[in-house]
Amino acid sequence: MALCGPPNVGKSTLFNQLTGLRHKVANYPGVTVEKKIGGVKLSSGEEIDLIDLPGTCSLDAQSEDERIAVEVLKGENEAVPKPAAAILTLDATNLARQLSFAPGILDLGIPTLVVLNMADELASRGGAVSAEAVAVEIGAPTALISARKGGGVDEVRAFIESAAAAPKPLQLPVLQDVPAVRQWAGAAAQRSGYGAPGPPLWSRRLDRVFLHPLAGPLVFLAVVIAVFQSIFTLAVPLMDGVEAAVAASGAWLGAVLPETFFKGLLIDGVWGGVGSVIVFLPQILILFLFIGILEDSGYMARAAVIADRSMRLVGLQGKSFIPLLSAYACAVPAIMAVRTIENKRDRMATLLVAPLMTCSARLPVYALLIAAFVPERPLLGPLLGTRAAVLLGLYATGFLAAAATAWVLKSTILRSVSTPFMLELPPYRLPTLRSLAYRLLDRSKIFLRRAGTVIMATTIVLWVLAGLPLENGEPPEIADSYAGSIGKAIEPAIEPLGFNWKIGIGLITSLAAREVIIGTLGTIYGMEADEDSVALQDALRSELSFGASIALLMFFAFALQCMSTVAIVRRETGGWKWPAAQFLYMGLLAYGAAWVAYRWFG
Amino acid sequence: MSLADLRPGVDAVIEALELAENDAHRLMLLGFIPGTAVGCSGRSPLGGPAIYRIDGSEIALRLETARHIAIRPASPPGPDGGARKRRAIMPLTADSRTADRAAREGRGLPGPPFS
Repeated sequence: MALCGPPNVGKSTLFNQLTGLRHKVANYPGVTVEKKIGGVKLSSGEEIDLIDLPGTCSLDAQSEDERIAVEVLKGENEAVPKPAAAILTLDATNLARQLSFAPGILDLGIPTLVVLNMADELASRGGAVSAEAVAVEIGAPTALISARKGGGVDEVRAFIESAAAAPKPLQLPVLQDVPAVRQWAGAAAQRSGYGAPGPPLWSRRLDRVFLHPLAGPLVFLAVVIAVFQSIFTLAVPLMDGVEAAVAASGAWLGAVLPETFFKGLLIDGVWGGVGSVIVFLPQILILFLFIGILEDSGYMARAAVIADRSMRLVGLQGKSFIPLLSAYACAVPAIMAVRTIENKRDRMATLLVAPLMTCSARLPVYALLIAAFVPERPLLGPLLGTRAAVLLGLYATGFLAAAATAWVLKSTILRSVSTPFMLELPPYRLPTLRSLAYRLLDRSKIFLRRAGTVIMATTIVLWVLAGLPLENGEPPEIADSYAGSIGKAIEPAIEPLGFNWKIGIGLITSLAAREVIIGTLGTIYGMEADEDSVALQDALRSELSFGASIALLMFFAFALQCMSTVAIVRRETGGWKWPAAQFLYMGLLAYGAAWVAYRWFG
Repeated sequence: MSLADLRPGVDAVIEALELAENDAHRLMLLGFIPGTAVGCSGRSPLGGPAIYRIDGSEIALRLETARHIAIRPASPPGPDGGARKRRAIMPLTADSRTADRAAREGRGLPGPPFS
């Protein structure tokens, strides 16, 4: 059974109400459109699969989301069997317009329940509607519900049970052009005695501030700074906690397990590697909590309106703002958020520059190198020290590189004739804890699954390469291991940047994920590795000159050392062309910047 | 007169969408159908997007897009106001809340555009 409807009608809330925790998120093959499928328990004990389709305004298949929704509903998507019935969710507070989304779905000829959601908001704003009268007009069963509060959800369940038992085709109006459909919808709403609600007064009051010519941009800046700041401040204690938990469990395992080959693999390989990634989970969840609040409350649409002016300077548009903000945590969810941009060229440009934004995986590398090479001195009194200034400079570098690249792309290969920026501003709504919790749960699952597999594989491979070939049954010196040979093989290429073969091994392993270099250097120097480690800092100081350390920072600011990003760009763009071009471009930029930095500071 | 000229507090009626078919179609799905009442509820400084109130929703458009949407004043009826009035189904006044009220009374329907 499929759940469909236009955006901003509370579709996901209804989905969560119906399926609870029994749902999983995956991707349709070949694209980044999310496929959410959940089980609805019937009274018979049976379970029915409910699929949450992306929000679509029409079935014209103009965007990727729409194409997927049409394919699934028509039974043409190979990943999902043709749904036996559909649940069309509409917003009851603007029925005349919302009903115009119905004919396209009803016309498909599958049994459909029309759900008029937001009954609570309709009533509180003084509107009224009779589900029975609407059902007569549109020739399909209709239910009036409030997915937020749970009212009427039982009726939807009843439909799911009856449709599961006896699907029957309905007689449906056939309507083609938009004005005619809209006219039919208006007439149907009127005949059903629809009492439209008053204007959303609260939304208008809030918009007077949030979209005010002066106050609006100030609120916007405050929101961005607050989000940005909390990614770092709020997340730190949580990250420390996770780190301690990983270390403690690793130590416990180390004490319990017998001394074998697998113990080393498990503790140094798997635990160390996966642990270094799980540490970032709190940061990513905090970012997604904020993004969830901003999206569910309706502020995100306003932020896009305000950001549009400055995004246009570099050839992008307001809708590019959300992915680019997310990219400060991680490029992978950022690239997944890119699909909300309808214009293909804007979507491509945003996707290509997103990995240049300073993601959270760069932070531990920056922190380690800055601590090792930049002496702490006050710059602006107690407000700003040299170390913080270098860190801010690195963030600015990434941002400027992204802006410049976007500008170049949009004035050359991705130039578009016009970019009609059209964005509906939904009324403000209080986000529900339930919906925020589901968002975070889904994000955690996706993050742990995706990043965990890649990082685990790399760490295991490195661990094996650093431990072979065995010399008299003992692991060799790191310089004589296979990993050492690989590092020495690439040394001539990185020597102009001031890096030796040990850094070279780190550069190779960090292709999987940037933060892996810390664990790698730790393995190479044979010591406990974490970014506060003074011993590791000393070791680095003996390996790298000051110029080379700046070169290494530049390299990490620009290079696309993240297999998860490459994989998701490939999936989004449907081929290797764009991820390859992106990888090469960022690699050349990184090499060039590192070379200049080494000459300049060396 | 185009939608880009519309000031907050003034009401107008969409006359035509002078845009590529794809863009015009998407605008129509958002409610920009010829004959529909439209109001401006805010403009950004420095030429950023403006917010338009149409068919019960609020839509942000860049001025460069709004410039290609022809509108006519909601009132008073000009010399050929009679002919025009036939095209607009709902009675329109200079009241800035026309669009709201029309929607509230279930009259926010477009007329047959080219009859």
